[in-house]
Amino acid sequence: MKRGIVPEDYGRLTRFSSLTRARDGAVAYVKYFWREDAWQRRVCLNQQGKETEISLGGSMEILPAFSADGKILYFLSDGSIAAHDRETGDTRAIPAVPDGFEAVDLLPLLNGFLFVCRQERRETAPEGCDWQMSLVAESLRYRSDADHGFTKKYVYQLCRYDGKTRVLAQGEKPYAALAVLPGEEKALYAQEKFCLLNLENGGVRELAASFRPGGDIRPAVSADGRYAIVAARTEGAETALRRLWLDEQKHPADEIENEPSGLPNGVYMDVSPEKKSWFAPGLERDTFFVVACQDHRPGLWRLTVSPDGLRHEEMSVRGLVTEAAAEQADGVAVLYGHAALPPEPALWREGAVSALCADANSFISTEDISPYLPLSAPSQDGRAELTGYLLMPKSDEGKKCPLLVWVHGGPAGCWSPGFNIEAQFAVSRGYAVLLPNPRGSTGRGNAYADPEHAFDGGAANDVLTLLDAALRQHICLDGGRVGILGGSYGGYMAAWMEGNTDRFQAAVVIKAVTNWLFIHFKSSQAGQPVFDEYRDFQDFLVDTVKQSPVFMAQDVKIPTLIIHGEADQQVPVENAHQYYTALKDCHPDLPVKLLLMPDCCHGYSRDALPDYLLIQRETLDWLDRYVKGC
Amino acid sequence: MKKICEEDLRQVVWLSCPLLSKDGKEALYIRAESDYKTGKNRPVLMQMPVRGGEAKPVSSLTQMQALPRFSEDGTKLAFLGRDGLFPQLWLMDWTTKTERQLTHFRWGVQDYAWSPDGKSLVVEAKRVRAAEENPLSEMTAEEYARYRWQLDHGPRMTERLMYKLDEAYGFLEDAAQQLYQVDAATGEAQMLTDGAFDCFLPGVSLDGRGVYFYARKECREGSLRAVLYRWRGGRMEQLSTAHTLAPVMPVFERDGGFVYAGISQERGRTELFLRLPDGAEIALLPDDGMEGIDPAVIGDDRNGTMGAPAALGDDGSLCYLTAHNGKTFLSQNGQKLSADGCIQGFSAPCQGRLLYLKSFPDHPGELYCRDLNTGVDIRLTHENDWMDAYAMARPCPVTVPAEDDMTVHGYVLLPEGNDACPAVLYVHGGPECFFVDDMFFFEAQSLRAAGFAVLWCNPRGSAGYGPAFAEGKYAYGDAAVNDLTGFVDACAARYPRIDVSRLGVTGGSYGGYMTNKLTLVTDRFRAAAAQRTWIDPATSYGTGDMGFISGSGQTDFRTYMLNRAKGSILKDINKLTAPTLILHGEKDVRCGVEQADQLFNAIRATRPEVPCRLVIFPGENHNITREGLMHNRIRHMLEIRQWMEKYLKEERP
Repeated sequence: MKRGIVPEDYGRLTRFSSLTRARDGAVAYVKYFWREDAWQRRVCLNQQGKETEISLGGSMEILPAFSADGKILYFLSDGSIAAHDRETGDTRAIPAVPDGFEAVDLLPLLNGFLFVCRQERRETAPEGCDWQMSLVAESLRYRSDADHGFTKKYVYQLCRYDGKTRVLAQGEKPYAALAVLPGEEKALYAQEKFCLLNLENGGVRELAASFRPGGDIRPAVSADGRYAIVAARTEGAETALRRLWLDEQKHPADEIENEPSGLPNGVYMDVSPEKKSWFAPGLERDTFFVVACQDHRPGLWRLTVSPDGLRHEEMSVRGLVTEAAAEQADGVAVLYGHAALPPEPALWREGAVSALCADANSFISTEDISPYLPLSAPSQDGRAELTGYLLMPKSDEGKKCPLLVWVHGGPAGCWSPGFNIEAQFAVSRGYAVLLPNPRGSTGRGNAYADPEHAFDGGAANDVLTLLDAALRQHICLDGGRVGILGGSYGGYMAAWMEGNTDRFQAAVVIKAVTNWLFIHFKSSQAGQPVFDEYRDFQDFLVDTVKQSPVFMAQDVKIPTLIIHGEADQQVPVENAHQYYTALKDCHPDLPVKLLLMPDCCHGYSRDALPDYLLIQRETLDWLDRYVKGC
Repeated sequence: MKKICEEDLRQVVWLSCPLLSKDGKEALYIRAESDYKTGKNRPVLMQMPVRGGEAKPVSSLTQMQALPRFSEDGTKLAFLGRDGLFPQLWLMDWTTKTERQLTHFRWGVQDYAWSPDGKSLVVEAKRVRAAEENPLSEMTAEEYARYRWQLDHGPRMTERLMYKLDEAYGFLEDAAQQLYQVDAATGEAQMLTDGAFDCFLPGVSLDGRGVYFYARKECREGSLRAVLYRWRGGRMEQLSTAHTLAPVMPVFERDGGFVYAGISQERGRTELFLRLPDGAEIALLPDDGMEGIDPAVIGDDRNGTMGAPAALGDDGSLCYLTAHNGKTFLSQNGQKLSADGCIQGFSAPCQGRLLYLKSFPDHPGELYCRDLNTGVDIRLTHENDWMDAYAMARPCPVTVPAEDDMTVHGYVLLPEGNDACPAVLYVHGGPECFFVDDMFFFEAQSLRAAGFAVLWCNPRGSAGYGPAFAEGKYAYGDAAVNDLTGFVDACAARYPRIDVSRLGVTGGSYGGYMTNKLTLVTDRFRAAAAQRTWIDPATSYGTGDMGFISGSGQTDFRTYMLNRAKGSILKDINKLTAPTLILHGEKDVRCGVEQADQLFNAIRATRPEVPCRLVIFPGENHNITREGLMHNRIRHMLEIRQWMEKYLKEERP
C-alpha cells in the first residue's frame, strides 16, 4: 500500500543552501534539517561525493567560505567565526568578532577575511527585573517580518581580520551583496545603492547605475575587477541580471542578448532562508554561470560578458537548478532538483548531472510523486498564453477526483516544476492539484509579470480560465468538488474567489490580505504613498474597503478555514480577525474556522515543525470534509 | 515640599475590600503595593481595631489575598489566597486565627459565597472543557509551565463568533466558570453546574438550598449578555426579569423575594429590584434623579475590586453607592451618609458601624469607619500619608453652560506660583463615564508638579448627569467638541494664568478619539497624546471586541462596511498640525493596537512635518493605566509629560 507523501515527511527533508567551492574542487554547503525540536543548520564539506559535517557545536552554523588557497573552510557558528583546517581536521573559533556583536557575513581574503557583524541596540530593563520594554517608533518602516514585530535596531560593522580585528566601516544599515575586488583594496556592497568601500582608508563611493540592488545576493566580480554581475531591481517586477561597472568611467548601456526572464526571487522553493549563491565564475575569463528563470523554471545559464554587453545561453538541464558555485574542471557545482527531488548538491557538466550526496532525501520515492502536467490556455482577452501545472493523484479507481486550485503568493512569484511537498501532500490524499501561473507571475519576463490586473479580478479570471482548461482536458476531474486555497497573495485570491464566484466548494485562506487598510497602515510596508492619488482621505478609505475581499463577505457561501500567524508583519493578523468575524457575522450557519499561530510570521514554513504540521493537517482535514466529502 | 513625579506612583498603597467583623469590632481591608521587579501588585489582607490602632496582616500567606467574607455567625473568615499557582479558598477560624487551605481546584477559585448556615460555600471555579483532567486536583509546576507555554505559543482555534475579549488579553480559552458546593469542614467539593456557559456572582438563598447566579453564553446579539438562573436541587431555573440585567453584584434574598441589579429603561440607570414570588417587581432605590448604583466613575485608583455597589446591613438596611452631578454618595435607606470625598467601596453595615474607602484629589483612598448612630467618622488608615511630604493641590470646580440647557462640570488644577503656564486638557474615556469631585488623580498631580495646569470636565455624552445628557449623538457629534473647547475657554477666562497659546490635549479610549478629533477640527492645541485610541471603524470591526456587543447579522454588509469607512476621523488628517504622541497596549482587544499603527502611519505618510511618536507596551491591554504593570504605567505617564514639555514649554514666537 503506497503511503505517498505526508506532512510528517517535511520534518524528514534535508535541504541545502549557500553552495561554495574551493579551488581544488571541494564543495561546501549548509544542510538544513529538523532535529531535537529545532531546525538545525550545519556546514558540510563534500569532497568528490564524500560528505563530512563540520561543526563547532553551535545550532546555527552557516555561510561556509573557503580561504583563497582552499586550506581553511570558514563559517559562522551562532554569531562567532569558526575555521576548519582541512589539513589537520581541526575546527576552532577565531576571536575576531568584537564583544557584544554577532557575525552575519564573511568573505575570505588572501590574508585573513572581511566580515560583517552587528549589535542590537535596545532598551534594557534594570538589573534583576524581567520587564518587557516599550516599543518605540518615530519613522516609517518600523515593523519587520524577520524580527516578528518592531524592526530591531542594529549597529553594523564591516571589519577586516588578519590576526587582529580592524573596523573599516560602521552604520545602521546592513552591508548586503558583499564582494571583494581583486587586489583586495576595495569591496562592493549594497544598501539603497551599490557602493565601493576603500579597505585602506574607509572611503565610500556610490556607484552610478540605472538599476537598484536586487537583494542580498553575492555579486560575481570579474577577474580584472572592472565590473561585477549583480542582482538588480529595474522597473519591472522581475529581478534582473545586470553588469555593474566598478570604475569611474562612463559606459554605454549594455546590449543584452537572449536575456532570461529573471532571477529566481519569486519562485516557490522549499529552501532555507540563508544566503544563496546564484553567480558562479566560469573557468573562462568573463564567463559566468548563473541561476536564472525561463518559463517559470530556474535553470543554469552561461553568461558571456563582452565590452558591449551580455550574452546569455541556457544550459541543458533535465530539472531545476537553484544555486551554482564556481566552475572547475569537473563542472559547475549546483543545487539540482526536480519534481521528485528537493535541490541537492551535484556537479553539472555539459548537460549531465552527477549527485554529490546520494542519501540526503532518498526516503522520497519517485513512485510517490506525481509528475507535473503542463497546462496552457489563451487568456480571455486573448492577450496572453496562460500557463500552469496539473498534478494528478494516483488513483486506479476510475472515479472522478476532487481538485484543488492552489494560487501562489506574490503576486510576483510563480510555481515551478520543482519539488513541491505541500502540493504532494494533497495529491497523496487523492486530490488533483492545479498550480496556475496567472499574469502577474514572475519567471516569464516583465510583460507577463506586470501586476496591472493582479488585484482587480484580471488575474482571478486567468486562474478560472486555467481551471476551465483543466476540467476540459481531464474528464476525470470533478468540477463539482473543487477547493480554492493559497497563501499571502494566494490567500487574497482565495478570498476574492469565494466572494466573487461560485466555482468552489470550500476555501482555505492563509495569511491573506482581506482588507487593504491593514497593509497600508499596519504592515512592514505601511506608509507607501497610496493615498497621494486621492484628494480626500475618506475617498481613499472608502475605495480601499471596496477593493478588499472583506467587502464581499455577504456573498461568501462556502466553508472557509482562515489561517494566520500572529507575528506576521507583512500581512498583519488583523486581516484574519476581521475576515473571520465578517463571515461569522453574515453567515451564522456557515462552517468558518479561525486558526492563529502565535509564533508564526509571514514565512511560516520556516517556523517550528509542530506548527507547520498543524497547519497542513488542518488544511487537508478541512478540504477532506468540505471538498472531498460534498 | 517635594515634587511628585511619575516614579512616585510606586509608593502608592492601594486599598480595597473594606469588611467589618460580625461583632463590629474589627475592620479588615486589602492593601496592595507594587513589586519593583515584576511590576505587579501584591494585595495583603489587613485588620485593625474599628476604633483605630495598629493594622496587621491577617494571614501568614505572602503572595496575595482577596475577597474576604465572614460567615453569617462571624466565627469564620473566608478569603482567596494564593500559596501556589492559583488563588484558592482559605478558611480562618476567627477566634483562634488558624487558617487552612480549603480548596485544591486545578485552576483555582475566582469567587464564592457563604451558605447562611456557614457549613458550606458555593465556589466559582474555572473548568477547561476539552481537558481530561480532575478539576479538583492542583496542578504541578511542570504542568503549569506546559499549560503556560501552550497558552503563549500553541495554536488558537475557534469557530465561535465571540472568541476574544480585552479582559482575557486576547483569545478566550475553551473553558467555562462553573459552580461547586464545598463543605466548610472537609473541603469536599460537589459540582453544581456543568455546561458551556460561564457562571459568576453566586448568591445563596436564605434557606441554603438554592444558588442564584448569572451565566453568560455566546449569543448573536450582545454576546456578553448575562442570564439569571437559580439552581435548586440539581435543576436550573431561568429567572427572566423585566429589566436588562446588570450583573454587578450577587443576588440576595429578602422580604420573601430576591434582589437583583437591573437597568431601568424609564429612569435610565442601574437600580436594585425586588422580585416577589408573584412576579411583581419593586424598585428599591428612591426616585431621586441620581445616577444608579455602579456609577461609571472613571479614575486612577481602580486597583483592586470596588466590591458590590449595594449591600444589606445586619439591621436590614440597604446601603448603596450612587453618583450625580459630579459627586459620589454613600446612602443608607435613602439617606446620604457621605458628604465629601470620592467613595470607592464600603462594607455592609454591622453592629451600627460601616466602613468605607474615600479618596481625595491629592490623596488615594483611605479607610474610614462611620458610627451610624452618632454619625461620627473616624479615619482608620494612614497608608498614604507619605504623600503629605509632597506638594499636592486640589482642583477648583468650573461650571460652564452648554447648549440644550445643559451644564458642563469640570475642574482646574493650577501649578504653584503665579506665572503664566501651559495647560493640558484631559478627556475621559467611555464616553459613558464621568469624572467626580475628589477623585484621586495622580497623573494630574504629576503634570501639575511639572508646571502644567490640568483641566478636565464632563462634556455632554458623559454619564453621571442622567440619560438625556449621555446621549450618543453628543459624544460623537459636535456637541462634545464644543463643550470641551468651551470649557477650555471658560477656564482660561477665569484663570488668566492659563496660556491658551500653549495647550495640550490627552485622553484614553474615547478620550483618545476626542484627542485626535480635537486636533483635526481645531488648531488650538499645540500637542496631543492619544492613549489607546480609536480612529477608524473600518479597521476596528472584528479586530477590537466591541463588535461582539454591537454587531449583529448584517443583511447589507457592504453598506455597513462603507458606513464604517466613512466614519474614520482620519478624513481630516490634512488639517493636523499638533505633534502627536500615540500610546497603546500591544494586547489591547478593546481598541486594537492596529488603531495606533494606523494613526501613526497616516500621520507620518501624509503629514511628515508633524512630529509623531508611537509607543507600544508589550503585554498590556486596554486597562494599562489602571491595572498595567507598574513600570509600564510610569513609562506611560512619563512619555506624556515629556511630550507636553517638549512642545508646550517654549513660548510661541
